[in-house]
Amino acid sequence: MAELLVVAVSATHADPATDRRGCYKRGDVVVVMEDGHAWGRKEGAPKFRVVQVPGVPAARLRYLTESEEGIDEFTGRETTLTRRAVALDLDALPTRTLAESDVTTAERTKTDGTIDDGTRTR
Amino acid sequence: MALVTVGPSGRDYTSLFAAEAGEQQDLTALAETMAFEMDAMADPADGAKFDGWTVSTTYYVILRGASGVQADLPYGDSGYRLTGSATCLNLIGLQFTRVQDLCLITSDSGGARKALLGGGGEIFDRCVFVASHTSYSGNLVEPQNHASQDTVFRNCVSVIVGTSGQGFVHQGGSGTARFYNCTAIGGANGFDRDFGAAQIINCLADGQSGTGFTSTWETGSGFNASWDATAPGDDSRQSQTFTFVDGSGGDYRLASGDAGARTFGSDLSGISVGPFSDDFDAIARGATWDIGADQFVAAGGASPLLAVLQAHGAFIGSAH
Repeated sequence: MAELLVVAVSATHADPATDRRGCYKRGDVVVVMEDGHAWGRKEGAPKFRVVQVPGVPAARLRYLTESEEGIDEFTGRETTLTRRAVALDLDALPTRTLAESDVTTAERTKTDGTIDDGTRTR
Repeated sequence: MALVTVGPSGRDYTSLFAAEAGEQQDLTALAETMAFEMDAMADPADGAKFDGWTVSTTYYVILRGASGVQADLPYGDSGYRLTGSATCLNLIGLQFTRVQDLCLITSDSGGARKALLGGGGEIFDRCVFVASHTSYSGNLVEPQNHASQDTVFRNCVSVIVGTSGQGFVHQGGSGTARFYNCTAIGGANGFDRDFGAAQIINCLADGQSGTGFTSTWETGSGFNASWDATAPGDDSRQSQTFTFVDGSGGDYRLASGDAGARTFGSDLSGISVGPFSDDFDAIARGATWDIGADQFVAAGGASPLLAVLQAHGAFIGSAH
């Protein structure tokens, strides 16, 4: 019962630190809505892909929208390191409709360090 | 100017989160300012954080309520509401933003979250910031001025339902926070300057369990009003009783019988940083300014006929 709005095209910033911290990257889940959500005119291709995960309450997938928090190497303060702690590997998703286990697998792949589009390292 | 719409249906995006992700870009390269216009809705996103943009004092982002659904008092379900248990709106990574006519409501019960985190260089007009949980204990509005730029709040209102927490709190940085004609209701403290420089003029604090104003303020501060003996600066009014249109119901506009704030403000239409001439309802303040976000009779906005009718009690309730 969840639908994910996933970034399909990475945003970039000239400053590497801002790019890493602030820019959404391909595979990042921006929002999680309940099934049947009426998406807006721009909430689709080419910038986004809507991924449906039937049978899973949206609340169970909200963790996909959490940022990666950590200590800034320059200031020593706790801060956001990346927009999303985990991301989906869009290229590995076989269909538009997923099971919850597909999402979990994709997440594990990312946290293990796999790079989805060659632009992002963690 | 580029316009992006956010609303529950028939708009570009259905949440501010998605709008920011979809439009994130270098506005200086495009030589364009981008306005996000929000329809009446409770935004389903739990906190919106802007970062990864390139902006300047010339090309920046505007966040505003759509015509007819701007932030209002009492706050409620009529306009766009950015709500959340997390920080509702985080602008640390997006300087120079203009935020207009928005209502931010945090439902958090602790002290870690805020309605607004500012990064510097922003101008906030006619916004309502709310902590709706009675146990809230944080800083509701917290500009930090990382950009070495001044942050200006004009005609904004903070409402803390409980008796803890602080309304407007400047947290330092190399820029100056400037609070003009703002109203702080409830909480422990209304206005505070923890670090850095902050100027405060024409601001009203009422209903705090601690103090209306704390700390010391930049030269030029004055014309403030408080229920206790803390309103800072020259020409300020301490230990006042304020009469609102419906204080218990959440409408903190000044009532006709108010003797604590009406007519005691300073004209800021010519102030060097962030001059303005309207009030919370975007009505011209005229020649004699009130203290706080609301101007009871906007001499420049009310017609002579309306002013005469008001003077003769032709209306029941607020003149707004």
